Amino acid sequence: MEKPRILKNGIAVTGLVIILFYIIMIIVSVFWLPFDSSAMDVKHVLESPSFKTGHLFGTDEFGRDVLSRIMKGSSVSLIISISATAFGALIGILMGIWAGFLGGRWDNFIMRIADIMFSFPSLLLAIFIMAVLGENTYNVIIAVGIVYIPQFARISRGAIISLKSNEFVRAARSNGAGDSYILFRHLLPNSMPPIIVQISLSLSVAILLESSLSFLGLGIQPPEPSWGNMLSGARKVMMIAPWTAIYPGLAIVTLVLGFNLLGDGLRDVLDPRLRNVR
Amino acid sequence: MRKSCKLFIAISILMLLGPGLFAGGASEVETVSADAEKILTIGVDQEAIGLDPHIVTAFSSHRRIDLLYNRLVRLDENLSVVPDLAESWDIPDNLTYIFHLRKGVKFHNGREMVAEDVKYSLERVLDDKTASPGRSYIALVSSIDVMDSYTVKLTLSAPLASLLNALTSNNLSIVPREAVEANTNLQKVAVGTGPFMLEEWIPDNSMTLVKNPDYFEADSPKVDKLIFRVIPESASLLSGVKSGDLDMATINDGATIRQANGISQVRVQSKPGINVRTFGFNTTRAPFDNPLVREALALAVDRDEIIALAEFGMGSPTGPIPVSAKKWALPLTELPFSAPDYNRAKALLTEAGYPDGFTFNIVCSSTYEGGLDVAQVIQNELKNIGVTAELEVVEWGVYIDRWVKRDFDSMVEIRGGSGEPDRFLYRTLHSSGGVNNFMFKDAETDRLLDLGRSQTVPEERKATYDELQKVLAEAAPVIFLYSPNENHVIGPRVTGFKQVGNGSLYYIAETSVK
Repeated sequence: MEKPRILKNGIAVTGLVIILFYIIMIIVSVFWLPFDSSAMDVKHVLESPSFKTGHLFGTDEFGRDVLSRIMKGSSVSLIISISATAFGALIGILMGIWAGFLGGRWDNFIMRIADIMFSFPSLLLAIFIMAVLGENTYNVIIAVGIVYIPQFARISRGAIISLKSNEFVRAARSNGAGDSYILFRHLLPNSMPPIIVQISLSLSVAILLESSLSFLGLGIQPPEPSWGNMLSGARKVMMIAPWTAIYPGLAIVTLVLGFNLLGDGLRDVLDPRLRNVR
Repeated sequence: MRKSCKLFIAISILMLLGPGLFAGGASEVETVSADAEKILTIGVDQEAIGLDPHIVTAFSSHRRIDLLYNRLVRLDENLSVVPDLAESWDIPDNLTYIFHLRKGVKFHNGREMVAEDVKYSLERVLDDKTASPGRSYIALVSSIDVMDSYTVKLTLSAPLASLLNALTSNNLSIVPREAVEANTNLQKVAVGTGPFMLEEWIPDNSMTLVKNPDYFEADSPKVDKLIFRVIPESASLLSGVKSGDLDMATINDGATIRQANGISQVRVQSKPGINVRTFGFNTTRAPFDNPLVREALALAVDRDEIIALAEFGMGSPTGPIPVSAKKWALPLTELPFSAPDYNRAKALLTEAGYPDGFTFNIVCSSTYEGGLDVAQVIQNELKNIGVTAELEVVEWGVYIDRWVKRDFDSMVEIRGGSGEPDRFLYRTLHSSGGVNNFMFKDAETDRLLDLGRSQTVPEERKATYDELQKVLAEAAPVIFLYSPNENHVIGPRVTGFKQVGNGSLYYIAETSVK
């Protein structure tokens, strides 16, 4: 049996391995953490990383184990990133394919809404939405998701428009297929490649966006750890205890890198024009 | 698409690193021009919320008013009452205070300050419409009489043992009537008699004050220009002083002070403060309307742990009277419900009808005053008795708003204490107190507070306040946690700065820069 093409792509595989590592970490963190991630310990405040104490990544200003908090935070970060992307992709794709398919006035109407949303810088828009909705985990998902809607709308609209004048669409129509049938059975599956790449890249930006929001105090609320609010808490002690900032920072960087590599790899694999390029 | 993604990532990373990266730079110019003009730049972590001396409650506002206005009397670095606008005073009987004002003191608008202004200012504070937090300090003043241009007489309806100390409050600053009438209030302008005049205010960025050339104190202030720069991040404040961008900074955060101690270019000036970190309840909301619940929570709070975790050990545990007011404060060991006892706390909760605990919100803010760290430690400690505290971390402006509207289950605050128990506790806990945000109403507390302020024999007063401290610890409308140290980080150019102990910056007027 031939290996799936994606496994031949080194970049995508590297990305996948990193993501897999974090997924394993999340599964482990559900059942086991080295220490209770929210237990404070006066006797072990700001201890440097050491094998002897068992605090492999050191402790923060409340004596909480940094490694445990990163593990706990990984599930928060990943779940938010996945749900927000799913939320944004679902609505965005629906908007985009209808706009592309119906064309004319509908297209204009839907895409102008997307343009308005696009005109805000994403972080600013997310901050605005958080300020309106209030600070909790679900609202972070909604805020990040809303930021994504116009991106997905544009990509899927473009894909649909380029596909809908193809002959197989006309063939389907002459065989009596309805709008929805053509849209969901013919057009959507064929427009998936760019959307899949976008999803993968969005996952990484969502991690950053969630971290930024939490860092600014608008995202995940303490004591629930998230990588962003860990960094935020580390700010004031990072000169005397750099490990409180370095490890959550590294976690963000590697996971974002993982998604980006996967995205790049997927694009190479899925883009027919690049298929034979070496 | 990908390009914009990468750009976005780059921007996000910059934003994550932002406060640290952008803290430096931008003030070489100031240092160069210092030959011609002496400029003192002071870094603070909090923007002033208005400047009207009679209205403001925020510490940050008070610190500006310290230098823009004067009071009749003020505190010196030993917390004793010394002359300010009043040169001297007579107390013929304990209901009458006669103040002799300095002559030739000018407001920033050029007009001379006279007894009429004292009368106008104090009456403005007493007017309900002003809603002044200072009202309760002098509510017992029944009449203010102008005897001549430089003499004013205050008559009390009942003895008020703390009146002189009360008059040191910035909330009782002397303001000119015409400025208030021209601007509705003084929140955005400053027309005082103080050593500095307001030149420019760019909210959330900087406030520039210039020397008042007509200031009544000869040879003061010693600098031509004073710039307050608002830098919310204490680490950035410290690096500002280290790099010379700031001459000094008020830093409350223990981690930063710990770090500052290891830097040779800066020195740390520390003094036990009289402010009190509090964890207070809205006593009109269930379950906090039940004293048993409040007592249980008081028993679940471990002050030493809070100081160690949230303040890096830089503070002292305290009861209702700030521990630095040694004359009055009872040691915590003599106060009920002031040491952790989880079993008893659980028993009290069961008795109150909450055997399985309950859930409530703590309103806090990520600024130092907003006490996010303290709230996190409390949240953790309350788990020991099965009570779930949810943190409501709000932006500072929202925090103040919630405080003013008394919209909270519980709130971590920092309160401006006083060396005078009447001044601190009356307004904080008397049922008619101006800042009784706990909406606490207790007949015994009111009785003791009223008694304490009428007594003139020190031993009798002491006995009253001893009893009051016990009553308050038991009723626990608010848990008094600790008094943080007052810290200033000072750069090498600065000489002559003294700390008052209540956070006041009066001595900036006597501070010089090389």
